[in-house]
Amino acid sequence: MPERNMKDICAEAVSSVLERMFFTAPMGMSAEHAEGDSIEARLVFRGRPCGEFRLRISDCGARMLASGFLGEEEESLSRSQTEQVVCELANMLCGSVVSQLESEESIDLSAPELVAVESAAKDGPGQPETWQSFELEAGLLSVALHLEAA
Amino acid sequence: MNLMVVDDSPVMRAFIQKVIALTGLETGTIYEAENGEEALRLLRESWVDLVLTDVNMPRMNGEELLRQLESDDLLRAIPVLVVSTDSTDVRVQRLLALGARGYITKPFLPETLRDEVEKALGMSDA
Amino acid sequence: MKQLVVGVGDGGVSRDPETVLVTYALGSCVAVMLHDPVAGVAGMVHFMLPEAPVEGRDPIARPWMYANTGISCLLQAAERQGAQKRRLVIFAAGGAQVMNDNGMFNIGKRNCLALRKALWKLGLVPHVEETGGATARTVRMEVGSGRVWLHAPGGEQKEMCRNGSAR
Repeated sequence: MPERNMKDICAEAVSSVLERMFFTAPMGMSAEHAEGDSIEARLVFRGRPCGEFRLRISDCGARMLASGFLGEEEESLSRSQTEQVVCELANMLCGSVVSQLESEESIDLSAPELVAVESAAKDGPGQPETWQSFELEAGLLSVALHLEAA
Repeated sequence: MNLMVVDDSPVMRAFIQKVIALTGLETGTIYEAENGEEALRLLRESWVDLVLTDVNMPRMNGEELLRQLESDDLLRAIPVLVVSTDSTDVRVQRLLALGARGYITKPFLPETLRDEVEKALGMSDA
Repeated sequence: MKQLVVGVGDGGVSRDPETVLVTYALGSCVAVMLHDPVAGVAGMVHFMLPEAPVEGRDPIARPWMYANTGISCLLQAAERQGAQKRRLVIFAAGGAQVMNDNGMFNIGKRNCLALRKALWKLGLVPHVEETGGATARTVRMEVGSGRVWLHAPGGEQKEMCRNGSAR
Protein backbone atom coordinates (compact mmCIF):
# COMPACT_ATOMS: atom_id res chain seq x y z
CA MET A 1 0.00 0.00 0.00
CA PRO A 2 1.45 3.42 -0.94
CA GLU A 3 2.77 5.28 2.08
CA ARG A 4 0.61 8.33 1.42
CA ASN A 5 -2.57 6.26 1.55
CA MET A 6 -1.46 4.73 4.82
CA LYS A 7 -0.82 8.17 6.31
CA ASP A 8 -4.25 9.34 5.21
CA ILE A 9 -5.86 6.23 6.68
CA CYS A 10 -4.06 6.78 9.99
CA ALA A 11 -5.07 10.45 10.08
CA GLU A 12 -8.71 9.58 9.37
CA ALA A 13 -8.66 6.90 12.06
CA VAL A 14 -7.23 9.32 14.61
CA SER A 15 -9.91 11.92 13.86
CA SER A 16 -12.74 9.40 13.87
CA VAL A 17 -11.72 7.66 17.10
CA LEU A 18 -10.95 10.86 19.01
CA GLU A 19 -14.16 12.61 17.97
CA ARG A 20 -16.58 9.77 18.62
CA MET A 21 -15.37 8.38 21.91
CA PHE A 22 -12.99 10.94 23.38
CA PHE A 23 -14.90 14.12 22.36
CA THR A 24 -11.86 15.91 21.01
CA ALA A 25 -10.04 16.19 17.70
CA PRO A 26 -6.47 16.59 16.50
CA MET A 27 -5.52 20.25 16.09
CA GLY A 28 -3.08 19.57 13.27
CA MET A 29 -0.11 17.50 12.23
CA SER A 30 3.12 17.89 14.16
CA ALA A 31 6.69 17.60 12.99
CA GLU A 32 7.67 16.69 16.54
CA HIS A 33 6.92 13.32 18.07
CA ALA A 34 5.68 12.57 21.55
CA GLU A 35 8.71 12.11 23.81
CA GLY A 36 9.73 12.47 27.42
CA ASP A 37 6.84 12.11 29.87
CA SER A 38 4.61 9.95 27.75
CA ILE A 39 2.84 6.60 27.58
CA GLU A 40 3.50 4.10 24.81
CA ALA A 41 1.41 1.07 23.83
CA ARG A 42 1.91 -1.54 21.16
CA LEU A 43 -0.06 -4.38 19.70
CA VAL A 44 0.45 -6.86 16.91
CA PHE A 45 -2.05 -8.00 14.35
CA ARG A 46 -2.10 -11.40 12.70
CA GLY A 47 -3.64 -12.46 9.44
CA ARG A 48 -2.97 -11.15 6.00
CA PRO A 49 -1.48 -8.59 6.34
CA CYS A 50 0.23 -8.81 9.71
CA GLY A 51 2.39 -6.35 11.57
CA GLU A 52 2.67 -4.07 14.54
CA PHE A 53 1.01 -0.85 15.67
CA ARG A 54 2.50 1.60 18.15
CA LEU A 55 1.13 4.66 19.83
CA ARG A 56 2.89 7.17 22.01
CA ILE A 57 1.08 10.00 23.77
CA SER A 58 2.20 12.81 26.08
CA ASP A 59 1.15 12.29 29.69
CA CYS A 60 -0.99 15.45 29.63
CA GLY A 61 -2.68 14.30 26.42
CA ALA A 62 -3.33 10.87 27.91
CA ARG A 63 -4.99 12.40 30.99
CA MET A 64 -7.12 14.67 28.83
CA LEU A 65 -8.27 11.77 26.66
CA ALA A 66 -8.94 9.55 29.68
CA SER A 67 -11.03 12.33 31.23
CA GLY A 68 -13.12 12.65 28.07
CA PHE A 69 -13.53 8.90 27.58
CA LEU A 70 -14.52 8.12 31.15
CA GLY A 71 -16.45 11.35 31.73
CA GLU A 72 -14.47 12.08 34.88
CA GLU A 73 -12.31 14.98 36.05
CA GLU A 74 -8.63 14.51 35.24
CA GLU A 75 -7.67 14.94 38.88
CA SER A 76 -9.83 11.99 39.91
CA LEU A 77 -8.22 9.51 37.51
CA SER A 78 -5.51 7.06 38.56
CA ARG A 79 -2.40 6.41 36.49
CA SER A 80 -3.71 2.89 35.91
CA GLN A 81 -7.01 4.16 34.48
CA THR A 82 -5.14 6.54 32.18
CA GLU A 83 -2.89 3.74 30.96
CA GLN A 84 -5.89 1.48 30.34
CA VAL A 85 -7.51 4.22 28.27
CA VAL A 86 -4.31 4.59 26.22
CA CYS A 87 -4.36 0.84 25.59
CA GLU A 88 -7.97 1.01 24.45
CA LEU A 89 -7.11 3.98 22.21
CA ALA A 90 -4.33 1.91 20.64
CA ASN A 91 -6.77 -0.98 20.17
CA MET A 92 -9.34 1.20 18.41
CA LEU A 93 -6.82 3.05 16.24
CA CYS A 94 -5.13 -0.17 15.14
CA GLY A 95 -8.48 -1.82 14.49
CA SER A 96 -9.70 1.15 12.46
CA VAL A 97 -6.56 1.27 10.33
CA VAL A 98 -6.23 -2.47 9.82
CA SER A 99 -9.90 -2.80 8.84
CA GLN A 100 -9.19 -0.44 5.94
CA LEU A 101 -6.46 -2.69 4.55
CA GLU A 102 -7.52 -4.94 1.73
CA SER A 103 -8.01 -8.40 3.15
CA GLU A 104 -10.20 -11.39 2.47
CA GLU A 105 -9.56 -12.67 5.97
CA SER A 106 -10.40 -11.23 9.34
CA ILE A 107 -7.36 -9.93 11.19
CA ASP A 108 -6.79 -10.73 14.85
CA LEU A 109 -5.40 -8.08 17.19
CA SER A 110 -3.33 -8.92 20.25
CA ALA A 111 -4.16 -7.32 23.57
CA PRO A 112 -2.41 -3.93 23.73
CA GLU A 113 0.59 -3.81 26.03
CA LEU A 114 2.38 -0.87 27.55
CA VAL A 115 5.97 -0.32 26.51
CA ALA A 116 8.58 1.43 28.63
CA VAL A 117 9.30 4.58 26.66
CA GLU A 118 13.08 4.28 27.19
CA SER A 119 13.17 0.84 25.54
CA ALA A 120 10.80 1.89 22.78
CA ALA A 121 13.41 4.02 21.09
CA LYS A 122 15.59 0.93 20.66
CA ASP A 123 13.05 -1.53 19.35
CA GLY A 124 10.36 0.59 17.77
CA PRO A 125 9.16 -0.23 14.26
CA GLY A 126 11.65 1.01 11.70
CA GLN A 127 13.09 4.47 11.72
CA PRO A 128 11.69 7.42 13.76
CA GLU A 129 10.30 8.91 10.57
CA THR A 130 7.64 6.18 10.47
CA TRP A 131 5.94 7.96 13.35
CA GLN A 132 3.05 10.20 12.37
CA SER A 133 2.27 12.83 14.98
CA PHE A 134 -0.75 14.91 15.82
CA GLU A 135 -1.11 17.94 18.00
CA LEU A 136 -3.84 17.50 20.62
CA GLU A 137 -5.53 20.09 22.84
CA ALA A 138 -2.89 18.95 25.33
CA GLY A 139 0.36 17.35 24.21
CA LEU A 140 1.09 15.14 21.23
CA LEU A 141 -0.10 11.80 19.90
CA SER A 142 2.24 9.76 17.71
CA VAL A 143 1.30 6.58 15.85
CA ALA A 144 3.30 4.14 13.75
CA LEU A 145 2.16 1.14 11.73
CA HIS A 146 4.60 -1.50 10.51
CA LEU A 147 3.43 -4.07 7.99
CA GLU A 148 5.46 -7.22 7.62
CA ALA A 149 6.48 -8.12 4.10
CA ALA A 150 4.04 -10.62 2.54
CA MET B 1 -33.23 -6.78 33.41
CA ASN B 2 -29.77 -8.25 33.70
CA LEU B 3 -27.07 -7.49 31.17
CA MET B 4 -23.52 -8.69 30.60
CA VAL B 5 -20.56 -6.75 29.21
CA VAL B 6 -17.67 -8.87 27.91
CA ASP B 7 -14.42 -7.04 27.09
CA ASP B 8 -10.83 -7.46 28.25
CA SER B 9 -10.53 -3.67 28.73
CA PRO B 10 -11.89 -2.45 32.10
CA VAL B 11 -12.27 1.10 30.80
CA MET B 12 -14.21 -0.10 27.76
CA ARG B 13 -16.53 -2.01 30.09
CA ALA B 14 -16.99 1.22 32.07
CA PHE B 15 -17.79 3.15 28.87
CA ILE B 16 -20.40 0.59 27.84
CA GLN B 17 -21.94 0.70 31.32
CA LYS B 18 -22.37 4.49 30.91
CA VAL B 19 -24.07 3.87 27.58
CA ILE B 20 -26.43 1.34 29.17
CA ALA B 21 -27.35 4.01 31.73
CA LEU B 22 -28.40 6.27 28.84
CA THR B 23 -31.20 3.87 27.97
CA GLY B 24 -33.03 4.58 31.22
CA LEU B 25 -33.43 0.83 31.54
CA GLU B 26 -34.35 -0.49 34.98
CA THR B 27 -31.30 -2.70 35.27
CA GLY B 28 -30.92 -5.46 37.80
CA THR B 29 -27.35 -6.67 37.61
CA ILE B 30 -24.82 -5.74 34.96
CA TYR B 31 -22.31 -8.56 34.91
CA GLU B 32 -18.80 -8.03 33.61
CA ALA B 33 -16.43 -10.59 32.13
CA GLU B 34 -12.89 -10.22 30.77
CA ASN B 35 -13.20 -12.93 28.15
CA GLY B 36 -15.54 -15.45 26.60
CA GLU B 37 -14.62 -18.23 29.00
CA GLU B 38 -15.54 -16.15 32.06
CA ALA B 39 -18.70 -14.96 30.33
CA LEU B 40 -19.81 -18.51 29.58
CA ARG B 41 -19.26 -19.57 33.17
CA LEU B 42 -21.33 -16.65 34.48
CA LEU B 43 -24.08 -17.23 31.91
CA ARG B 44 -24.48 -20.82 33.08
CA GLU B 45 -25.03 -19.53 36.61
CA SER B 46 -27.26 -16.48 36.12
CA TRP B 47 -29.90 -15.47 33.61
CA VAL B 48 -29.02 -12.47 31.46
CA ASP B 49 -31.30 -10.62 29.03
CA LEU B 50 -28.59 -9.25 26.75
CA VAL B 51 -24.87 -9.81 26.20
CA LEU B 52 -22.56 -7.17 24.72
CA THR B 53 -19.26 -8.68 23.69
CA ASP B 54 -15.97 -7.65 22.17
CA VAL B 55 -14.32 -9.99 19.66
CA ASN B 56 -10.56 -9.87 20.26
CA MET B 57 -10.06 -11.21 23.78
CA PRO B 58 -7.61 -13.69 25.32
CA ARG B 59 -8.61 -17.23 26.37
CA MET B 60 -11.91 -17.27 24.46
CA ASN B 61 -12.74 -14.61 21.88
CA GLY B 62 -16.18 -13.24 21.08
CA GLU B 63 -16.63 -15.41 18.02
CA GLU B 64 -16.05 -18.61 19.98
CA LEU B 65 -18.35 -17.32 22.73
CA LEU B 66 -21.12 -16.89 20.17
CA ARG B 67 -20.49 -20.38 18.84
CA GLN B 68 -20.75 -21.82 22.36
CA LEU B 69 -23.97 -19.93 23.09
CA GLU B 70 -25.55 -21.05 19.82
CA SER B 71 -24.77 -24.68 20.58
CA ASP B 72 -26.49 -24.49 24.00
CA ASP B 73 -30.25 -25.13 24.00
CA LEU B 74 -30.88 -22.66 26.81
CA LEU B 75 -28.27 -20.00 26.19
CA ARG B 76 -28.94 -19.57 22.47
CA ALA B 77 -32.06 -17.53 23.35
CA ILE B 78 -29.97 -14.74 24.85
CA PRO B 79 -29.51 -11.89 22.35
CA VAL B 80 -25.90 -10.89 21.72
CA LEU B 81 -24.59 -7.58 20.44
CA VAL B 82 -21.02 -7.56 19.16
CA VAL B 83 -18.97 -4.41 19.85
CA SER B 84 -15.65 -4.61 18.04
CA THR B 85 -12.92 -2.69 16.24
CA ASP B 86 -13.05 -5.20 13.39
CA SER B 87 -15.33 -3.88 10.67
CA THR B 88 -14.17 -6.25 7.92
CA ASP B 89 -17.09 -7.74 5.98
CA VAL B 90 -15.86 -11.29 6.48
CA ARG B 91 -15.94 -10.96 10.29
CA VAL B 92 -19.24 -9.10 10.47
CA GLN B 93 -21.04 -11.59 8.22
CA ARG B 94 -19.59 -14.54 10.09
CA LEU B 95 -20.77 -13.22 13.48
CA LEU B 96 -24.21 -12.31 12.21
CA ALA B 97 -24.47 -15.80 10.73
CA LEU B 98 -23.55 -17.19 14.17
CA GLY B 99 -26.58 -15.43 15.60
CA ALA B 100 -25.37 -12.01 16.73
CA ARG B 101 -28.37 -9.68 17.00
CA GLY B 102 -26.32 -6.66 16.01
CA TYR B 103 -22.75 -5.56 15.26
CA ILE B 104 -21.43 -2.19 16.39
CA THR B 105 -18.00 -1.08 15.21
CA LYS B 106 -15.65 0.86 17.50
CA PRO B 107 -15.39 3.79 17.50
CA PHE B 108 -19.08 4.50 17.95
CA LEU B 109 -21.21 7.39 19.14
CA PRO B 110 -22.70 6.53 22.56
CA GLU B 111 -26.22 7.03 21.22
CA THR B 112 -25.57 4.49 18.44
CA LEU B 113 -24.88 1.76 20.98
CA ARG B 114 -27.73 3.02 23.17
CA ASP B 115 -30.16 2.65 20.24
CA GLU B 116 -28.89 -0.87 19.46
CA VAL B 117 -29.29 -1.92 23.10
CA GLU B 118 -32.85 -0.58 23.17
CA LYS B 119 -33.64 -2.31 19.88
CA ALA B 120 -32.20 -5.62 21.07
CA LEU B 121 -34.31 -5.44 24.23
CA GLY B 122 -37.45 -4.45 22.31
CA MET B 123 -37.54 -1.00 23.93
CA SER B 124 -37.63 1.06 20.75
CA ASP B 125 -39.90 1.40 17.74
CA ALA B 126 -36.98 0.84 15.36
CA MET C 1 -46.80 33.51 24.10
CA LYS C 2 -44.11 35.30 26.05
CA GLN C 3 -40.61 35.32 24.68
CA LEU C 4 -37.55 34.88 26.91
CA VAL C 5 -34.43 35.77 24.95
CA VAL C 6 -31.25 33.97 25.90
CA GLY C 7 -28.31 36.09 24.89
CA VAL C 8 -24.84 35.09 23.79
CA GLY C 9 -22.94 33.60 26.71
CA ASP C 10 -26.10 33.36 28.78
CA GLY C 11 -28.69 30.81 29.86
CA GLY C 12 -32.02 30.41 31.59
CA VAL C 13 -34.81 28.06 32.63
CA SER C 14 -38.58 28.40 32.90
CA ARG C 15 -41.64 26.51 34.07
CA ASP C 16 -44.13 28.91 32.48
CA PRO C 17 -46.00 26.99 29.75
CA GLU C 18 -46.74 30.30 27.97
CA THR C 19 -43.06 31.10 27.53
CA VAL C 20 -40.87 30.47 24.50
CA LEU C 21 -37.11 30.44 25.01
CA VAL C 22 -35.25 31.86 22.02
CA THR C 23 -31.67 32.54 21.09
CA TYR C 24 -30.40 34.18 17.94
CA ALA C 25 -27.43 34.08 15.60
CA LEU C 26 -25.86 30.76 16.54
CA GLY C 27 -22.74 30.86 14.41
CA SER C 28 -19.87 28.94 15.92
CA CYS C 29 -21.71 29.13 19.27
CA VAL C 30 -23.86 26.23 20.42
CA ALA C 31 -27.26 26.27 22.09
CA VAL C 32 -28.19 23.38 24.36
CA MET C 33 -31.82 22.99 25.27
CA LEU C 34 -33.40 20.59 27.68
CA HIS C 35 -36.96 19.72 28.60
CA ASP C 36 -38.49 17.62 31.35
CA PRO C 37 -41.97 16.73 30.06
CA VAL C 38 -43.19 15.62 33.50
CA ALA C 39 -42.03 18.62 35.55
CA GLY C 40 -42.73 21.00 32.65
CA VAL C 41 -39.29 22.59 32.97
CA ALA C 42 -37.30 23.86 30.00
CA GLY C 43 -33.89 25.47 29.79
CA MET C 44 -31.46 26.87 27.30
CA VAL C 45 -27.81 27.91 27.26
CA HIS C 46 -25.99 29.73 24.45
CA PHE C 47 -22.28 29.10 24.96
CA MET C 48 -19.39 30.54 22.96
CA LEU C 49 -16.31 28.61 23.99
CA PRO C 50 -15.44 25.01 24.87
CA GLU C 51 -13.86 25.25 28.31
CA ALA C 52 -13.73 27.79 31.08
CA PRO C 53 -10.23 28.91 32.03
CA VAL C 54 -8.93 27.45 35.26
CA GLU C 55 -8.74 30.38 37.65
CA GLY C 56 -7.60 28.79 40.86
CA ARG C 57 -10.23 28.87 43.56
CA ASP C 58 -12.16 31.85 42.16
CA PRO C 59 -15.56 31.00 40.68
CA ILE C 60 -15.84 31.44 36.92
CA ALA C 61 -17.03 34.98 36.14
CA ARG C 62 -19.33 34.02 33.26
CA PRO C 63 -20.13 30.31 33.58
CA TRP C 64 -22.79 30.31 30.83
CA MET C 65 -20.15 31.33 28.30
CA TYR C 66 -18.45 27.94 28.26
CA ALA C 67 -19.66 24.46 27.34
CA ASN C 68 -18.41 22.71 30.46
CA THR C 69 -19.63 25.24 33.05
CA GLY C 70 -22.67 26.41 31.07
CA ILE C 71 -24.18 22.97 30.57
CA SER C 72 -23.55 22.10 34.20
CA CYS C 73 -25.25 25.37 35.27
CA LEU C 74 -28.17 24.63 32.99
CA LEU C 75 -28.72 21.19 34.48
CA GLN C 76 -28.46 22.50 38.03
CA ALA C 77 -30.91 25.32 37.31
CA ALA C 78 -33.38 22.91 35.74
CA GLU C 79 -33.08 20.49 38.65
CA ARG C 80 -33.76 23.35 41.08
CA GLN C 81 -37.04 23.88 39.21
CA GLY C 82 -37.97 20.22 39.62
CA ALA C 83 -36.48 18.62 36.50
CA GLN C 84 -35.01 15.13 36.78
CA LYS C 85 -31.96 14.22 34.75
CA ARG C 86 -33.25 10.81 33.68
CA ARG C 87 -36.38 12.40 32.13
CA LEU C 88 -34.61 15.11 30.15
CA VAL C 89 -34.89 15.42 26.39
CA ILE C 90 -31.81 17.24 25.11
CA PHE C 91 -31.39 19.28 21.94
CA ALA C 92 -28.28 20.93 20.55
CA ALA C 93 -27.88 23.38 17.67
CA GLY C 94 -25.15 25.58 16.24
CA GLY C 95 -21.41 25.02 16.00
CA ALA C 96 -21.14 26.24 12.40
CA GLN C 97 -17.68 25.92 10.89
CA VAL C 98 -16.11 29.23 9.91
CA MET C 99 -15.37 29.20 6.18
CA ASN C 100 -11.99 30.96 6.26
CA ASP C 101 -10.50 28.83 9.00
CA ASN C 102 -7.31 27.12 7.82
CA GLY C 103 -6.73 24.78 10.73
CA MET C 104 -8.01 21.25 11.13
CA PHE C 105 -9.79 22.24 14.27
CA ASN C 106 -11.91 25.41 14.48
CA ILE C 107 -14.05 26.90 17.20
CA GLY C 108 -17.40 25.68 15.83
CA LYS C 109 -16.20 22.11 15.75
CA ARG C 110 -14.49 22.48 19.12
CA ASN C 111 -17.74 23.71 20.59
CA CYS C 112 -19.62 20.71 19.15
CA LEU C 113 -17.13 18.33 20.69
CA ALA C 114 -17.11 20.23 23.99
CA LEU C 115 -20.90 19.98 24.08
CA ARG C 116 -20.75 16.18 23.82
CA LYS C 117 -17.88 15.97 26.32
CA ALA C 118 -19.76 18.07 28.88
CA LEU C 119 -22.96 16.06 28.44
CA TRP C 120 -21.07 12.75 28.64
CA LYS C 121 -19.53 13.84 31.93
CA LEU C 122 -23.09 14.23 33.20
CA GLY C 123 -24.08 10.85 31.80
CA LEU C 124 -26.07 12.39 28.97
CA VAL C 125 -26.03 12.63 25.17
CA PRO C 126 -28.06 14.91 22.88
CA HIS C 127 -31.29 13.36 21.63
CA VAL C 128 -31.54 15.72 18.67
CA GLU C 129 -28.61 17.58 17.15
CA GLU C 130 -28.41 20.13 14.36
CA THR C 131 -24.78 21.18 14.42
CA GLY C 132 -21.94 21.94 12.06
CA GLY C 133 -22.57 23.27 8.59
CA ALA C 134 -21.75 26.81 7.59
CA THR C 135 -24.81 28.89 8.45
CA ALA C 136 -25.98 30.71 11.55
CA ARG C 137 -29.16 29.48 13.21
CA THR C 138 -31.88 30.76 15.52
CA VAL C 139 -33.68 28.34 17.83
CA ARG C 140 -36.91 28.57 19.80
CA MET C 141 -38.15 26.20 22.46
CA GLU C 142 -41.73 26.12 23.78
CA VAL C 143 -41.58 25.57 27.52
CA GLY C 144 -45.04 24.04 27.63
CA SER C 145 -44.63 21.45 24.89
CA GLY C 146 -40.84 21.05 24.76
CA ARG C 147 -40.95 21.50 20.98
CA VAL C 148 -37.96 23.14 19.34
CA TRP C 149 -37.84 25.02 16.04
CA LEU C 150 -34.78 25.90 14.07
CA HIS C 151 -34.59 28.89 11.74
CA ALA C 152 -32.04 28.97 8.97
CA PRO C 153 -31.20 32.07 6.91
CA GLY C 154 -33.87 32.70 4.28
CA GLY C 155 -36.73 32.13 6.71
CA GLU C 156 -37.04 28.37 6.39
CA GLN C 157 -38.20 26.87 9.67
CA LYS C 158 -38.09 23.25 10.72
CA GLU C 159 -38.88 21.43 13.92
CA MET C 160 -36.13 19.45 15.59
CA CYS C 161 -37.61 15.99 16.14
CA ARG C 162 -36.25 12.95 17.93
CA ASN C 163 -36.77 10.61 15.00
CA GLY C 164 -34.77 12.93 12.73
CA SER C 165 -37.62 14.06 10.53
CA ALA C 166 -38.38 17.73 10.01
CA ARG C 167 -41.93 19.02 10.15
